[in-house]
Amino acid sequence: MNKPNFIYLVLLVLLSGYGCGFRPNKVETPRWTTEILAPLVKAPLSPEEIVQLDEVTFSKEIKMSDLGTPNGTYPLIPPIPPTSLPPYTIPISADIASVTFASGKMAMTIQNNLPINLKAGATVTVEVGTNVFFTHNLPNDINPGATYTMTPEYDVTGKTLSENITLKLTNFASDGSSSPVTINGSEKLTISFSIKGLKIQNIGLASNNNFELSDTTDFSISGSNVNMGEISGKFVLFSDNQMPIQMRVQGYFLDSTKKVMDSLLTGTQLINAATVDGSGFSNSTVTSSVDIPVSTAKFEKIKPAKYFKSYVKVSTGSGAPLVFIRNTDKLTLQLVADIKVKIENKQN
Amino acid sequence: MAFIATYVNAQYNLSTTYCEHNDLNASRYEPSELHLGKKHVQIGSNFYFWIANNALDYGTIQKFRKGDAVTDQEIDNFVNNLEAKNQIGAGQDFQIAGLALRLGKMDFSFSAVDKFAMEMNYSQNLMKLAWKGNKQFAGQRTQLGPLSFNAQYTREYALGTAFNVAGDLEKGLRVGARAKYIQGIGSIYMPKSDLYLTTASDGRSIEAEFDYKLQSSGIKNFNGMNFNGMGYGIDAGISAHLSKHFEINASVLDFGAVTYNQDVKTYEKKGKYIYEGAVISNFFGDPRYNADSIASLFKPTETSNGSYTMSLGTKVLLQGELKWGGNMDEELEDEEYQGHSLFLTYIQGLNNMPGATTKPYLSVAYNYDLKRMFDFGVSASMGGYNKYAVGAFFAFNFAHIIKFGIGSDNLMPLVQPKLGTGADVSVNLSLAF
Repeated sequence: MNKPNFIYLVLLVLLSGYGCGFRPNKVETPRWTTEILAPLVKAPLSPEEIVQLDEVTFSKEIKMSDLGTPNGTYPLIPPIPPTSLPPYTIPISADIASVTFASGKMAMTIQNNLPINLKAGATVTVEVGTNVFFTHNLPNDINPGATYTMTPEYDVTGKTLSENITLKLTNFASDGSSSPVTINGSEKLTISFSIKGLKIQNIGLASNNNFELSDTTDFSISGSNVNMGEISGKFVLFSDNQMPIQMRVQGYFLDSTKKVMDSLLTGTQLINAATVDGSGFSNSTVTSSVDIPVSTAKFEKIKPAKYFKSYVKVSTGSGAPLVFIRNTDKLTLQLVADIKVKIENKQN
Repeated sequence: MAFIATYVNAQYNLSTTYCEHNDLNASRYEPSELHLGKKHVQIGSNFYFWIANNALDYGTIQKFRKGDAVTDQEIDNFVNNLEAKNQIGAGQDFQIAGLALRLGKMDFSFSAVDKFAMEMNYSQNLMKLAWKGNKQFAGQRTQLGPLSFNAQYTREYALGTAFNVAGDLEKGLRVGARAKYIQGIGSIYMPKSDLYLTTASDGRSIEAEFDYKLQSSGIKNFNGMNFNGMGYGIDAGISAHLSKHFEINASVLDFGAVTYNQDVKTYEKKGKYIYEGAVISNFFGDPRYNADSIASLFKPTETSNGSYTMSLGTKVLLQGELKWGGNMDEELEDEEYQGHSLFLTYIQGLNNMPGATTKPYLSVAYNYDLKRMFDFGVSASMGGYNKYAVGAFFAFNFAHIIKFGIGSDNLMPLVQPKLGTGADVSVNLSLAF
């Protein structure tokens, strides 16, 4: 899963901007002040990046007790005739209400750590609501200790997952065990699913929903020869948001004990959400901007920092039970320098 | 009779025309003024070097050279006092050989001249951008061009003649012309150098529109004896002697062009690019951006071979001369002669090419001729490549055979460094029989 580091990146760009502009001791130049108004970086963000969804995984473990055999020692386990296990409800995400895939491949593996085999002909079915998302018949027996990997992978293009899915295992059968077996509860059949290489057609999020992203990264500018006494002004972070989510962003500089030394911004700053229609789809592009002051004092204050912690709080808007992010919806961040640079001729 | 002359000149070598009126060397600038008087043969040589610009003064250059700190205010003044379009020029003419003959009432000339000239054009907006940044242009489409460099090195062979079509030198009409065959040795030519910059008022985009073309010939393997092009040119003039005290001359100089077809390289690019920041991909993961893609937008298309034509630095010269004192008959070798001449010269370049500028040039000069042995005088001018200039010139005519002189159209760097924006030097040597 990728890390929510855009504030950190903003800072890096800010500092690299300082670095690029300040090497006056390299050349003999007159002293002058120049005012720059220019875009520095632009980052178009996809829905996958915003919701940090680059892979979907879910799994279910089935123990011998689920098959009616509690812990204990048995001289043998009799064969199990074809039967249907009760359906299992598996939560996929607390934040995402639904995902419809524009593309993606789903892998399924079944690891048999039971003392009995699983006979060919068993059917694994994943249902979303009343719709069948996926079904697969087991072609071969899976002996105790063996793992089955489905080939080919299942194409999920156009398929939709919701926050909960139902896993069904039908026509389950086994030859049982003819030798003595001790069951202690660690024996299990694990059915795992992994959807990779995914592209999202749309994502449904519950309205008025919040989730937070945070990350702490190593940080050091103590070795920099940047002279911050020669710059003032601000960087402006613009956002053009077509997604029905808003974000509050902040970053913190931490010392070696991870104690907060200073914040990047004055208070959390808001990237406004796009408005939505009655179906929960965005119908506008909302532009917001955040000023990031540039000053000598700030630079000196953060110079001893050893870590940088980024913090993003994502919130869905309201106006519909669910809001959807389509793959055509973009959030574009753009950093603009609006700075006055004073370049001095330094004598070495 | 023989002459040796040395001059110092600025851009148009006017002191030659002031101090060496009627001789072979001066006729390069006023073809109808070729007149050997009683002499039948004249051999001449001339060396001329000039450098000029319309903005940067010699005083500031000296400060840079000495390592003295140039103040913000001085640079502010320099940038703010620039014209919208500015020029830097330099050149060197070396008349390797010159020969003039007087046959009957007609004068003929031949000369071989090595010529090098260059000019660079730049805009005030470009300097403002470099000095104060782009914020001052927010919300505007700003013309940063031209930013061009042209240079040409040629060797020309000229045949000329001058004769009276009416009257005589006291009152009459005299015409002259020089036809030139030109060998192109090398050139750099930028026929297009447009650049516009638009900074969005909120800074979210910078749009660059550019259209530039650079052609060169004979640069990669430069050799003064390799000829990479060929051309023709003409100088023509007419002198109206309205009285023995007043004369008007009009000349068209360097009308022609050189076509280069050897060792030709062409670099060109036209386009529009809107920059909205380096695009970062995989922003939340391992961010990446490719700065090379930006530079590649401006990378020109390079082609070899082909040909191109480069005009000469064509200009029109108008000169009035008021003469008084002594006998005006220049054929007399009057030991008591004390002549005075007052010149007013206007030059209009017809193109911005090496050696010419469309910025008009005006010069006034005074020459004193003592006993037809010594010429000396002063001049003042404005315009052209320079802002203002003052000059002085001197020539010594030894035994009416050898003539030597020295002078300058632009001594301003010595007189007032803060006003001096150029200098030049010219050396003439001639023998007359």
